[in-house]
Amino acid sequence: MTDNMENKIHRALQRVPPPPGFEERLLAAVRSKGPKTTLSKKYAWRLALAAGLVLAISIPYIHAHRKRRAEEAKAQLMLALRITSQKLNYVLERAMHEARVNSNPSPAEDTQ
Amino acid sequence: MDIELEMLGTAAETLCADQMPFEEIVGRHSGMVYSIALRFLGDSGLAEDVAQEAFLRLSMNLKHIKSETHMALWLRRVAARLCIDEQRKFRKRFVPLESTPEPHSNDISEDFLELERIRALVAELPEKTRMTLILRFQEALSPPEIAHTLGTSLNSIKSRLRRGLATLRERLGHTKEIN
Repeated sequence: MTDNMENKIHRALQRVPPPPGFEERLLAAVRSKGPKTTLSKKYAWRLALAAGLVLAISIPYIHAHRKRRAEEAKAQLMLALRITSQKLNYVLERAMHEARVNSNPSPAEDTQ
Repeated sequence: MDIELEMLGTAAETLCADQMPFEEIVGRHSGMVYSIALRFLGDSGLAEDVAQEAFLRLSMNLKHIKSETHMALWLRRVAARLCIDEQRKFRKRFVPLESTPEPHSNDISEDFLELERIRALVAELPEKTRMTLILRFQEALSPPEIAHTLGTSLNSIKSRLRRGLATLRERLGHTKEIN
């Protein structure tokens, strides 16, 4: 009875042949997804790692470079302001001197 | 001999799987993977998806395959896992129509109907019991081989086989009584 039953299950569950074109579809799917996915994943991982390393190394340099440029610009601005200030002081002194001369004529001019 | 070592195959049949043309590997094993998936899921589209995924994974793991026997074991294991995952996604259970052979004679014999009924009853079994029966009766694996393939204990496999067969026997008896 048991043997007969198991024999029937064997017969009922025989392998089913795949439909026509199955192997071709399977191979095409594996070819389209397989190696490309593997390679791209592998390289994407390496690329991401390399990019991360480059960023990690270069960020402090970029930061230092920007800071140096900012300090140079600041120094140039200070110099320009100092020069402008000196020029303005000079012009102001000249103007005050001219005004003083015009308001107090020289004694020689008075006697004539 | 340890079942694991036994399943990896003998030295004589050891192969460098990554040197074998992939077309040949597909030709040898795709029917097995497709059939396991079809019997389990009952849908040829899903069975093809499972087969494609199994071979895709194989293509990425060829260097780890040690022999022809190991390859078959590996594919069965991956197919079984993929089938159970797929089943849990959809929770669909229906009779695999594609597995039904066309009757050759004009009248459908009682034997044909009985086999058909068995297939329908197997499709209704809980997923782990169903996969165990498929591996036992379709793939003719021994209980230790099934345990190894599904990564479970031998006692658990024996228990599933007993339960599955008892359920089939009971339901077949019941339908016969009704008829």
